Amino acid sequence: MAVEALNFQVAPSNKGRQSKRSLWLLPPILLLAALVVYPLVLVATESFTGGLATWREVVGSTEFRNALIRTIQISVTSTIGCLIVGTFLAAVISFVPFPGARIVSGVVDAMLSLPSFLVALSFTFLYGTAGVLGSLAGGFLTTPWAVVLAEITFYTPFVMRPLLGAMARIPRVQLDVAASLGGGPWRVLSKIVLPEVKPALVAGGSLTLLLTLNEFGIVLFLGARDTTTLPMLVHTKGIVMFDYPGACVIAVVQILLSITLYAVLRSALGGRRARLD
Amino acid sequence: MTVQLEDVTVHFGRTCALEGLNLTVAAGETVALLGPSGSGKSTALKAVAGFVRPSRGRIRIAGVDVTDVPPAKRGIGVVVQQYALFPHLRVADNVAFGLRAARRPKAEVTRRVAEMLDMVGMSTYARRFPRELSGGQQQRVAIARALAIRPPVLLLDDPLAALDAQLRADMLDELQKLRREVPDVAIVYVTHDQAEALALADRIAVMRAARLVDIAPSADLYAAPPSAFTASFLGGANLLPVEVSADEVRVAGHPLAGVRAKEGNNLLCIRPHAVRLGSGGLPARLLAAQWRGASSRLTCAIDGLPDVRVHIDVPAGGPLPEVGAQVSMVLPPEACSLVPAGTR
Ligand SMILES: Nc1ncnc2c1ncn2[C@@H]1O[C@H](COP(=O)(O)OP(=O)(O)OP(=O)(O)O)[C@@H](O)[C@H]1O
Ligand SMILES: [Mg+2]
Repeated sequence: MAVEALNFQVAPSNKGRQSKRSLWLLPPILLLAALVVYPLVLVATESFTGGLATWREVVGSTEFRNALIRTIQISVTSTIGCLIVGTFLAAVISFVPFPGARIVSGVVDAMLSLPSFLVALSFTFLYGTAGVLGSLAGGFLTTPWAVVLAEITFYTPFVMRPLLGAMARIPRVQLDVAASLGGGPWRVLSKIVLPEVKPALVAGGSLTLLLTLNEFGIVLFLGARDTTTLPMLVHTKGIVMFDYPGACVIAVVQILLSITLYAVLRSALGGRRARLD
Repeated sequence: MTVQLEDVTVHFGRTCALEGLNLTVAAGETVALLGPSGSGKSTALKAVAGFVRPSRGRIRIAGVDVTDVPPAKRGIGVVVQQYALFPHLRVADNVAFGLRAARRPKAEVTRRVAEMLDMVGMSTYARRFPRELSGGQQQRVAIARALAIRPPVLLLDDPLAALDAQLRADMLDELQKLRREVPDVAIVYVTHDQAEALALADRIAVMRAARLVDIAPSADLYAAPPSAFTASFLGGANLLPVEVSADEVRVAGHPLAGVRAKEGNNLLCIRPHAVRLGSGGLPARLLAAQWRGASSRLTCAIDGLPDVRVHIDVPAGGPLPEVGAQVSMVLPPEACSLVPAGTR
């Protein structure tokens, strides 16, 4: 195999171990190729069945452009909301001594395991026309803000989890000293805590950004008229209108968007870590 | 400003970390809290700083009860055991933290930071991050940071514990110098090292198992320790069992002329450097000799007291008896005192 061909100098025992190790890698790689890469390739080829015309048509449409902008708007707003709410909650749980802190942090972990449409469903009970706050909220569910609020509710724990870990690692004595120097809670949070948990903040925030970018369940369940996002558009085109090539074009854009964002964040994070060490 | 602790008691869950501490530190005075690990020294300091809430007792600063005042409002300078510099702030910004929290004008902050860094000799390191400093340098920055806000009270928690011997001696010098630069500040200096306490403190408070054992001016405490624990902890005194009859004090059956007898169950206390080897003393056997540069430490056992180790420091240079040899140990009466045996 490749390893044997390249490493003709290594000792026999070593060579044996290496080829054995590469054998172990084979099944997962094949599995990955069969289950992930192959379908993606299918999607990509499907998007080109009509040649570049389909691409030009779809990407040129206002429908697509509006969905792209909506997706980014909702995702960015939700992420900012999650960061603010998550930081606040994590700081309270970490630094304000109250009896139920451990239970609350357990609840946060439990929230991570819930499906996202559950939040949307509960929202329809709360704010829907027949819901508890329906008359008060007055059509709230039909605005993009409903989606943003639902996404903040659901994704805040994803920001809190790494933050809680990072905050637990800040020595208490540092905060004590900061307080004794006259630093009030707000100053200690902004000048000491936040800079020290920045990597966790970036990690949680970028994860949330990726997840909200691709969020489908919440948008589908809340089904607001103005909130057609890219995943929704894929669904409408592919499942409702049977326009497979069109759906695939949008899907490819969606994938590229996610991968690009992921790559950018990875390099930004990696750079930061390298500088810290 | 004076710091007063009245019956201050601190519990952590079921452990009692500090039990009924009464202590007054006057303006301009340095009091050392000296004691072994876990004796509650840091806890006492944290109570004064406001980091822990006493379960009983009151703390007053300049006569004002601050027991329920948060740390930010106490205006106390604190240097903790681990320094706790803010890792993402440069040295200058660490020092400026308190001034900025007090919203001092920019020009004043810059001037004061420069002044403080100059005082601790760290001016050239202003742009560094804490992780780029050695332990001793971090120590200096922590002190500068605490003093920048001109606190009337300075609390130092074992500031030299993490440093090596040479650096420790240098820093001790610097701390003495620093003391003279802030003449009105009340300083509480926590340490487990008796040499630091003797070098820096006006008074020494000896702590043990969450309690204050003795407190007195350093010289008095050293010369006439009130308890066996203080005698051995401060200066590592030898403590020998004695028989007291009428007005005579005897060690292993040998009368000691010139030592006044005292009521009660007492131990004879004598410092290692005061014991001499010479003729006409107590017969003893030399068990070990350790050369320590300027002096040698001998460990002996007096005949008739095989379980008691007596340490003797003799100046280096002179001839030493062979290990295992029979020696004669002289206990000069002026260096001997009797301390209550109590719990050792
Ligand atoms: N946060 C805490 N929770 C529980 N117990 C504590 C806590 N802090 C201190 N203790 C206990 O209180 C006692 C006194 O601790 P303290 O830190 O005051 O000792 P110390 O004299 O400063 O010792 P050292 O010289 O090792 O620093 C110890 O038995 C310690 O285990
Ligand atoms: Mg301590």
